[in-house]
Amino acid sequence: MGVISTFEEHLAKEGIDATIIEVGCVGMCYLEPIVDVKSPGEARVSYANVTPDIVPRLVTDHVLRGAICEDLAVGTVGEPRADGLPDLFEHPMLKPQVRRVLRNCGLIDPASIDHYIANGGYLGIERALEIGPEATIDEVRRSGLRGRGGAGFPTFKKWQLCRESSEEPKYLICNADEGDPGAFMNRSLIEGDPHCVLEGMLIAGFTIGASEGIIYVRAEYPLAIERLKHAIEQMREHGLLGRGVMGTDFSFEITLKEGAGAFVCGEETALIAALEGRRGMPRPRPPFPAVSGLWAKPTIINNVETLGNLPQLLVNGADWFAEVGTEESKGTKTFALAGKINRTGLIEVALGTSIKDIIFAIGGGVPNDKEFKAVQTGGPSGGCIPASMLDLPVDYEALAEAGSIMGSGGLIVMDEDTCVVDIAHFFISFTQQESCGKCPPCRIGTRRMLSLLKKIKSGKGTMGDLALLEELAWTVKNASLCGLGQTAPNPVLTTLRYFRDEYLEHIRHKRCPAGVCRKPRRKGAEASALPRTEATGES
Amino acid sequence: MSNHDAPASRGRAALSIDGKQVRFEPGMSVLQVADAAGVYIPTLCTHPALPAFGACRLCIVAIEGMRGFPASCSTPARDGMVVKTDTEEIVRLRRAVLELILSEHPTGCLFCDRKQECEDFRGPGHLTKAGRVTGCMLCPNKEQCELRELVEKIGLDSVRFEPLYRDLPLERLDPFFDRDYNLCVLCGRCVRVCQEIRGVSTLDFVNRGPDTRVGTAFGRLHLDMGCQFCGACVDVCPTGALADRTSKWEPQAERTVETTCILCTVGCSIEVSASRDRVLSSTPAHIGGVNGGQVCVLGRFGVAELVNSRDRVTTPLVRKLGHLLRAPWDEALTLAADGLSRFNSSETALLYPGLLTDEEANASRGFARLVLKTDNYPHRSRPEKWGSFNAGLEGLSERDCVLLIGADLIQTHPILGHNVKQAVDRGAKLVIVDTIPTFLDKFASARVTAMPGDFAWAVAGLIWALVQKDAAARDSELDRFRQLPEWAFKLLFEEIVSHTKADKETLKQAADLLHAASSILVLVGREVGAENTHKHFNGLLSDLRALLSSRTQRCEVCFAGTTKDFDAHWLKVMQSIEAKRVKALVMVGDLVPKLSPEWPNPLQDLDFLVVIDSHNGSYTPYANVVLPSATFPEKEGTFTAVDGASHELRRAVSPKGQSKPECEILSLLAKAMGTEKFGLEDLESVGNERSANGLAAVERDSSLSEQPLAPELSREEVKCSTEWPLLLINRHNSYLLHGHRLSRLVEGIRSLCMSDLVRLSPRTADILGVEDGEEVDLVSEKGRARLLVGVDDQIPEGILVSRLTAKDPRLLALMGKEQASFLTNNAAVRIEKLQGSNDV
Repeated sequence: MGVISTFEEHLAKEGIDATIIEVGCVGMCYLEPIVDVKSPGEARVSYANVTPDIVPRLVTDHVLRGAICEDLAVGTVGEPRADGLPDLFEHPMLKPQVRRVLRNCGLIDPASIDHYIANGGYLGIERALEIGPEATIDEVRRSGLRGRGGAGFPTFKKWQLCRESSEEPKYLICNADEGDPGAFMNRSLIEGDPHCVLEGMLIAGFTIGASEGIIYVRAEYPLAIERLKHAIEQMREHGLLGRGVMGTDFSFEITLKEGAGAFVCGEETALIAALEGRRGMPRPRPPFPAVSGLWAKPTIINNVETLGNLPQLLVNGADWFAEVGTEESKGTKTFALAGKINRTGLIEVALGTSIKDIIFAIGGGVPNDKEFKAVQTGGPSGGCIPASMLDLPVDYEALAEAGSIMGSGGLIVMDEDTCVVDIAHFFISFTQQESCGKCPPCRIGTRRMLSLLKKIKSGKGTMGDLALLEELAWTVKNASLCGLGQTAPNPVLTTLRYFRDEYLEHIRHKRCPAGVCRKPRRKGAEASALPRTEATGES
Repeated sequence: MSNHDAPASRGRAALSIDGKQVRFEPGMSVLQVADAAGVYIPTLCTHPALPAFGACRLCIVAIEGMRGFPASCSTPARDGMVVKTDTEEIVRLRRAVLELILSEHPTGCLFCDRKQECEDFRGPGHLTKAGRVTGCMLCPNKEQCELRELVEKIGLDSVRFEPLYRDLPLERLDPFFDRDYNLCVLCGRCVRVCQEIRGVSTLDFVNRGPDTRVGTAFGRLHLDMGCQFCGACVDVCPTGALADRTSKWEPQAERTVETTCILCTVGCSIEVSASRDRVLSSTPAHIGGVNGGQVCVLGRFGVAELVNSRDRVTTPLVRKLGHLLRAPWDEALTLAADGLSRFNSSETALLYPGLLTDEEANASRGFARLVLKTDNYPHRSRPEKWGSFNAGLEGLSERDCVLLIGADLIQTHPILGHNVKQAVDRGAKLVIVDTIPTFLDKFASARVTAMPGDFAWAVAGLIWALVQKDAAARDSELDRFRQLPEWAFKLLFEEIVSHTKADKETLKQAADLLHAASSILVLVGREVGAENTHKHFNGLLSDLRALLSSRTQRCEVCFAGTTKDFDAHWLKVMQSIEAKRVKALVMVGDLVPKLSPEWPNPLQDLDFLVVIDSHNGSYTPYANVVLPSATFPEKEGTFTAVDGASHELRRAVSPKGQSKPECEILSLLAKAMGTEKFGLEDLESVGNERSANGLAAVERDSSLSEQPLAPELSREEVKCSTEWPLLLINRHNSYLLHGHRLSRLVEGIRSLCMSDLVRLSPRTADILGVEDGEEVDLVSEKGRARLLVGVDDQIPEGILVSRLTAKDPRLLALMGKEQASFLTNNAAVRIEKLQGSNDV
């Protein structure tokens, strides 16, 4: 029996009239499920790791008798406070964060447009409608907002290109096809605050002159889809969609399209192909979608988080937005902390924050007193940043220089027990499986890289294999058609750059320093080639 | 280099390729500019007929100011670009990419150290490589293997990776071509030509990642996926993955001859390749022609089999003591001449088919008029049209609206249908008026449903909607409507709706499209001719044309495939034979329905039968004299296509055995019968005489409103009733040549015919309690026929659709022999379950 139903049962038993609101994730995933209990006039207390077992205690002690279970509480939210309990946002995981996009997540009812409006929602589109598209583009230009989907292209430039086109109609697409393993930023944002993304779509649609917006969301996110559908309904009821949005002559419709489970469909042109009912395969650019996209019309594809940034940007202005961040990378960025880290969860920090701060101050470091080894940024398209570069600030340029990419924001932390060859093998096996098969470098190149990595992992690799692997990586990176192939070798290239010794260890001494890669065991093959070579290697 | 400068130097813009300044036209890709300038850039996925794809990554170049290595095929050339095609990095990348491609493709023949010997041995006329035993005959691609060239040009001599063999089974359950996807390099040409050029989408990429391959949805057969077997995929394949089955093991071609396919009336340019005196294969001519490099199943796969058929008549045959025996030409001609001379002119008749060269059609008519001196022969008035019309791509692409009335072009004139689809791709709007869904429906902007017999009402509906749009036009332009008071006009619409099943909105939508167009082509198809056409059809069509002409720049009407007048005459000749007025017949082709219980042997009462035919037919065994004629790749001449254009036929091989072209045969026979006046001028006079005799009345640009399309034949309108509740519509199978069923002569056509199938909607099947694949009896007032049920959700309720050949005995049984041939295509029927099957 789940936590919610247990609550319902016990509240009913005690005859207490209480509302249970399902909210999105506040980002402290390692503490979930978190339950906030609030009685009228009392403090809103957050309880972490709530299981059905402790629900009766919460109901009888806190709800019925007003006695806060301090041993289970992590903090209070907002005013009034409770004695002896810290503010939740003073928690070490939350305190260093700059929560702009995620400001409502976990706090408001995602199914209620009223909650969103009460927290300053739909003021951004109001301002945009007031100042007009040109001024909105200018505002976005001055803010320095760059695409949060990974490549970091200045948002206003794309918009301008589309706005200047005389072709009609124009389309706005919200790319919610979040496919990186270990990344859940977009999902959390949509589940926690769907209206924030939808308002962003209104602003972007109005600015570029589109009258139709489409959300391409992966079908693996059923809750996000449900919340989006519900939110779109509410928008329609409130006159925020359809003919004459908010009484102006701007008309906008938003439709939802569920993806069919292809990673490559996160790529703009493949996404468009999928929307048009064709096989999701990228095509060469130019022409860029902003010139010729969906149905060969000008199309802007923005990431969920880019759109989520817009309402606050418009309300508070470009200068406020640019207050945080670095020279080239303004604003904040959400990251999903996963892997060998104490506080897994979703965070939002100012761009330029160092990796060290993210992993140790916010993430609480590596569990079980293990040594931090590396962090993979940008998912399968990104690279491995070693412990020696902990002071690296996360911004677009610095990460690219280190051989990785910002990506959409997945951070996978590795400790000393992780083998980098194994990690490279994992990511390459992901990309080779998700390659659409259109261009040979990506389709065959990644497959070849995978088999070489497999060979090295199993202790059969030679120095020639390593050279071939590097050459292949170079070929795939430079000759591939789309971003998927062009970035697929990054995990291999960065691990080779920072952890070459480990590869050599696998090849020369047939051993895996992290103890992860094991020789393939075959029945009755004890006296296989591998132990013999090992013996010679040791002698 | 200077010779290459000429084509590229016309444009104003210029870019630099490897330091060379090259001028180009706007819209060209960097690859095209390089090509024009004579700079070689290797490529695999590019094909002249296809838009850029950018997949193979072999044509990568470096362009100043652009990130990475863009593919030159998909990068538009821009003024001032600085392009490098052969930097060290690019060369390395290309080699690496080709190496990767070849690691998935058998390379034995590409890197064989005895390759040169092999090359020397190959060559025109030789058998394919001897290596069928040695194993390098894995690949059926004899001449066009593009990987060979790439390996030479890029200079690769080995692959460092272990070969990846996909181990896929050879796919050969479909007719015409074999598919060995182990040889496929996934260039995607076949997929694109199928989807983008032909609009069929049988093929696509399936699976992802390393398992990606080309295939059909769910691995189903091409036959089940709507494949038209046009062979376009085979023709663009750069490897041996797709191979034409009939020519797979043939020697290499010694020569190719460009000629015209006359298996239908479109007049496609095809290239017939031959070795010694044998036709190996036929492919679409690469450029020009009405077909623009495309061809249908017959033109691609039918020609070689037809010419090489074992059923060919190769020597003259004469009947001696009741047996047909081989005879020299002289003897056969004398015998035929003597036999025909025994009858006076009214007792003789001549039948000839539609698909002949102009000279042969002329000679046939001339033979009837000048030699037999009879009136018993079909008069033909092809082409029937108002205004000039060019069916070619150029002609169609100028149109911004095409209206098809009862024209299932993909069945009757495949390439014309393809051209209409191309016009739609270029932005033209398509309006379809038809009874049942057709292939082109998916490209149509509006579709008006008209039941058989109601096409006239549909046209009236269009006129009504057009007049509604512009009330002033009603008084000024339409005689037919001028006298109608307002209430009658409203009533007319009620009538139209009740007849056409079209609602007001659909008609309005169609009228809007016609109204907005500036250049319209109206194609009236065979179904209009085949049904019991309303007597006002021509008048209404003329009104529609007048109405459209008044507001658009161009509006032409063309009849495609209405052979009504021709068939009416054919029927008259048949009736004369039955009435024993005709006693001697010269038959070019096999034009009388196959023996059936309904019509045991229509020619049994003849005293003398001369058959001039290329293949053995149903009546060759009954003939007194059989004279072997040549097939079209074996002869020369001109051919007037459906659009009135003249096309030239060129001889690719000499006639098989002792066969001769029909013209020659007829003139020899004329000479043998003592007619000396059988020259060109004499025959031309026949053409004039024909129009003078007023039987076949349709002439170019004449106003048709007063004239019937064909001599009136008394026919009852087909009406469904409780006794005969279902309407059977037969979409005549077009796989016919001179009356021969091509399913008999060309192996693969048999699988395309589905001739035993009667298709009906799932609901109709439910109500009748019949199941998919069940054998049932169709019963009409006239007779019964046994067919297989095929459930098809495309078919409207209450309608049965069959696809029998025009002279199929089963069709004769159901529709009556009086209405055989293309004259009718529908009957009211009921379905009877077979005895012994479970009644529901």
